[in-house]
Amino acid sequence: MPSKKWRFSIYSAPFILFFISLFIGKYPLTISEVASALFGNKEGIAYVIVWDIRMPRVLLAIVGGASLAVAGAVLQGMFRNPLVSPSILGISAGASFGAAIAIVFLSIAPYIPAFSFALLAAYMTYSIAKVRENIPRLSLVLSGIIVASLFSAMLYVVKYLADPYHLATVVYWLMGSFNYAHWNQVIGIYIAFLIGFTLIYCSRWHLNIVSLGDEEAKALGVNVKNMRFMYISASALLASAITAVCGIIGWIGLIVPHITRMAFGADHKTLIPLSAAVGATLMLAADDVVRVVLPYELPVSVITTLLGIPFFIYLLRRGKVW
Amino acid sequence: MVKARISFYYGNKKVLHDVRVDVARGEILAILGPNGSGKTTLIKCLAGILHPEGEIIMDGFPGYVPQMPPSTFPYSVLEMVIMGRARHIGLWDIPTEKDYIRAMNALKMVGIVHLAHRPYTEISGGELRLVLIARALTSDARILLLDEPTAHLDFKNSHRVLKVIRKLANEGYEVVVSMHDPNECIRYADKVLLLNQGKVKAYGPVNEIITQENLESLYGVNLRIENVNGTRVVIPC
Repeated sequence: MPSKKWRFSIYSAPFILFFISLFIGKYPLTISEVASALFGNKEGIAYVIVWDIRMPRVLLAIVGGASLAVAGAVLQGMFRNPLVSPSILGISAGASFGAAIAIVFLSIAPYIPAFSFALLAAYMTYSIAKVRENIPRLSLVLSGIIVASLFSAMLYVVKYLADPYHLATVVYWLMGSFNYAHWNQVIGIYIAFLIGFTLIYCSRWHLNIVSLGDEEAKALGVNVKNMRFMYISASALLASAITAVCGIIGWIGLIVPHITRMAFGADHKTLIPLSAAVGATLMLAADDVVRVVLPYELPVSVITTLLGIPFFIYLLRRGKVW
Repeated sequence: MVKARISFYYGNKKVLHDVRVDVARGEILAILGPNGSGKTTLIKCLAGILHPEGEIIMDGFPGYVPQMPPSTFPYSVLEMVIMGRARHIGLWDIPTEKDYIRAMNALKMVGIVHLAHRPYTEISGGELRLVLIARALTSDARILLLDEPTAHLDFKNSHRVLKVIRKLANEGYEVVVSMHDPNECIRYADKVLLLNQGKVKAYGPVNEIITQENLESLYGVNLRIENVNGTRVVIPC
């Protein structure tokens, strides 16, 4: 169990970075301008920049990082497989297909279609991988690839059928970034996060039991089937909400649970909340880099991928992937 | 108290034929038989993992000690042991101080408190069996079902684990344990069930059942049983 001091620093990191992020940006604002806008001074452009541009984007990055990291931690624990994440299991692809349908054909908020197809994708991956009562590690990853490519193909069909206006929206959204954040999205995502995270947080200790496998869980007096349904639904909700709004942002859901486990141990009692904090911090830091440091606004998914790949190679070479 | 009379099928194949088991307080029942005779299946049926035909009567739930747990995530020994509390902790709850105290007591009973904070993936095979026994104890089970607890263990560790099991039986636990070595059975068990191809060959007190004739027909090898300073020893020829 991590020491109290360490845990305190990890949990305060996203809050500290949240305030720092409000003070930085392309448009030059002094510290006092930002501070007075934060306290409700509506004069000048500072108020608009802080409240309508920076704030929703920062809030979105925080919840996005937390959502993907927690969903990844839950999926890895539940499937007893350290190689999976929402994108590897095809959940993100399912969500983006659902959201694209909502954007192009239905003109409704993308959350519910995204969630429905994310859930469908998760169950497809699960059923394809399942051999009798077992889910072999490799076959889970492979069936995730199958399901992800199926939904990517269907997404191309949606794009093909879309008119130019909708097509542009879909293409920018899919790149995976927080560029177009606004308050409506923030509210939608925080509602989804609150539901999904509460379910997972409150039942987090039982992930330990589920991670021992059906047989042992049964012998310990726990019925895994109902729990599995809840964990899949909750993590699909988390991953689909952020995908519906910000596109596919890879690697956070895979890497963050690993970093957290390496640093603080495998117990899901602490792994779940710590992953949320680490995910939020990393995602926000990555978004600050694309927003402030780089001359052009790249999608944040580029940064998470560029950081994620070498880290994953390091994990593989180390020979201990957990 | 454990009383059971069960048959079990894998698909159409009958792997347990009307096997009867009864264990009283403080008793160790050993299940002896060649590989593939149905020992593990019998233990899993009693543990509630498999669902056999027939009936199983137990006062309370059993604590199951598997051969090898999966080692996907490096939980600490204490975190592993406290999972024994699963049936007492609601889905929306986490273990409390009391649960941790029980887990520590169980570690004390099997003599490995010093390992509490080590990852269970990095301890020796013998210590791992003790962790799993501690986990079963933490569940408050009074019935212990152990699936070949000495498999893959060296001489010293086999006896270390079996001594702990004997001690627990002496404290009033009811124990069913599958094993391979007739000598371990003679030394530690009270009763023995000889199982071959899912059928009971013989069943009763160790002294009556472990005979040259019974073992020769069970394993299909020639052997003799000698008396060394009051202890009977099985020696293959």
